[in-house]
Amino acid sequence: MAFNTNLKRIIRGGATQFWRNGAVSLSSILVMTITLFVVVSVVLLQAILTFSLQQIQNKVDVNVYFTQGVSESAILDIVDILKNLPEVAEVTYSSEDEELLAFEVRHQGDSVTLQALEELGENPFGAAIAIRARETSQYETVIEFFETGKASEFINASTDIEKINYYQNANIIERLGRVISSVTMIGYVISAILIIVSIIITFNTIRIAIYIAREDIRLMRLVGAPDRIIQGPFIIAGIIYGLVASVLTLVLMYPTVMWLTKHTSVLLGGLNLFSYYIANLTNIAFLVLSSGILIGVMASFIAVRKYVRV
Amino acid sequence: MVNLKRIGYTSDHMIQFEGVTKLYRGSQLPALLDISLSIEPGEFITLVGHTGAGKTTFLKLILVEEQPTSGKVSFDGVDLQKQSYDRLSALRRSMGTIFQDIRLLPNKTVAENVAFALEIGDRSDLELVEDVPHALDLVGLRGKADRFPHQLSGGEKQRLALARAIIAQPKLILADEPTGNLDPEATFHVVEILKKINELGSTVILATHNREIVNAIARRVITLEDGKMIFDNKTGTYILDSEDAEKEKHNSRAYSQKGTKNRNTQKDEEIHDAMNESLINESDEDRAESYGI
Repeated sequence: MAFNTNLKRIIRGGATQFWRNGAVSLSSILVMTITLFVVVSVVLLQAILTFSLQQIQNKVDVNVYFTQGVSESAILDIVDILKNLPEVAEVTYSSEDEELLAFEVRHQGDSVTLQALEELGENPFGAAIAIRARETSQYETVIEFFETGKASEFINASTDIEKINYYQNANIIERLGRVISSVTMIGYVISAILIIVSIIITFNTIRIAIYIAREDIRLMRLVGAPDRIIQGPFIIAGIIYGLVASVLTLVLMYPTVMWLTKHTSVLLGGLNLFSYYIANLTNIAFLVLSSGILIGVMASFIAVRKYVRV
Repeated sequence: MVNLKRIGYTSDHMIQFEGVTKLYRGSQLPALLDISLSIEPGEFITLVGHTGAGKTTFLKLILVEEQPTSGKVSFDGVDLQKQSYDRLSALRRSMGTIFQDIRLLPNKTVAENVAFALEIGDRSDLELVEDVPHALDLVGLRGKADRFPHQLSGGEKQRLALARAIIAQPKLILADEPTGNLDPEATFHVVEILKKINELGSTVILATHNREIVNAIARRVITLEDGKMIFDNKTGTYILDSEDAEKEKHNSRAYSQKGTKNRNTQKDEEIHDAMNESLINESDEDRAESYGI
């Protein structure tokens, strides 16, 4: 007997079973769609979380204020070395004049302060550099660079540096670091629980669907049907549940993400959730399809195996 | 070469019961008690007994739907209790079964139910296309090929079960009350089909409590009562509820005690032959005439 004929019969049997057991198929698909919805939501939630954490991390930096009159070329040399450090993500140099301008802009409405500045007759500000590390835990290394590291070749840390604001921020940076790792961990745990619960519910729905057919399975067994002919159509039906639920999830996700993007753009700042969804659609579709089909096949296989031993 | 002992090969009989007792869980009385008999290829057995006598259990043990509590059941020389699932499937494919509760696949059409028996035997699509309509013709369901079982009457379901059981031309047909929902004409037709299948080489075991059927077939009759085999007649008739039955039971017990368990003596055979003759005269021929056969 040709392998093709067998396969053709099994596929046809599965498709017929899917179609004729309309109510059972519908409930299995709906439950599976909810599961896949949870999976995609978790992916998007992770994207939002990662983006938000990055935003927060970007706002944390260390400012090094130099005393007046430190050679600009020495500072620029330091900036060049800093830029090449693996821990450093970004370095912004601000000259003495730029610092003065920034101060004036900051105190635009404060005439007393501006008048006091004018009375001084000269620029009281030194140059400054703002450094952003890749990870909050790496700021310690950056500070060491100034105090005992390579920067001492160009400047004298005790006389040329007026202030490093890391020490004021250290506590906040450290706490933020702990919060970030906790939030990420909690995110992973909640996602895992949600996905596991959804998978168990889907498994049970498909098992109930097959439980309904247990007498048919028993009969097939008693008339001598081999395992592949009994299990095959159920597994095909499981694959169809997965396929239909995946397409349904991807289609339903489209307006949902669009709506979410519209209503959360202020909250999420620069993240456009819809653009993210579209940009990653291939990956998300692959994830949804593979999870859907895998859940369908596994649930059908396990459930039928239970009733096939007669 | 196949190691016959490894697959449980025991003898040349098609079916052999050796001291088989079946006691269902929670039941005090055995469904079958110490049954020993053999059935040869090509036989047509009528299994007779009242409801609860053990007929269905007898057939279930052959199909391995149930396991004996003690004793051994063999089919084609292999011990049915020692088979793997795969081997058991292959053995079951050589049996065609009509279940007492009919048991059709509810989500398959009439034609698909019949075709299923061929599909599991890996028959080609061509065979399906040729054989299924023929089998449906035989049981008068050609016009209802696309209906589902729930759209059929009780009798039609039973005829569909018959078509499914015979289409693959199995070695053995197990028919458990296949005429329960049928009118006399359809009953006779079913019996005729079973006889024809038997002539073509299949062994048939037909469980029934229909006196007319037993007498019309007039082949080997195995009679069960309360799980015990009370008669095993080569060309028997339906004798339950008759005065002769009491005599038979008495004789049977007497001989059992002497060690010739459940075997008929010449005297027994004479009694049944006489009954057989008279019953056939009054029912079979007249009825056959009225059905135009």
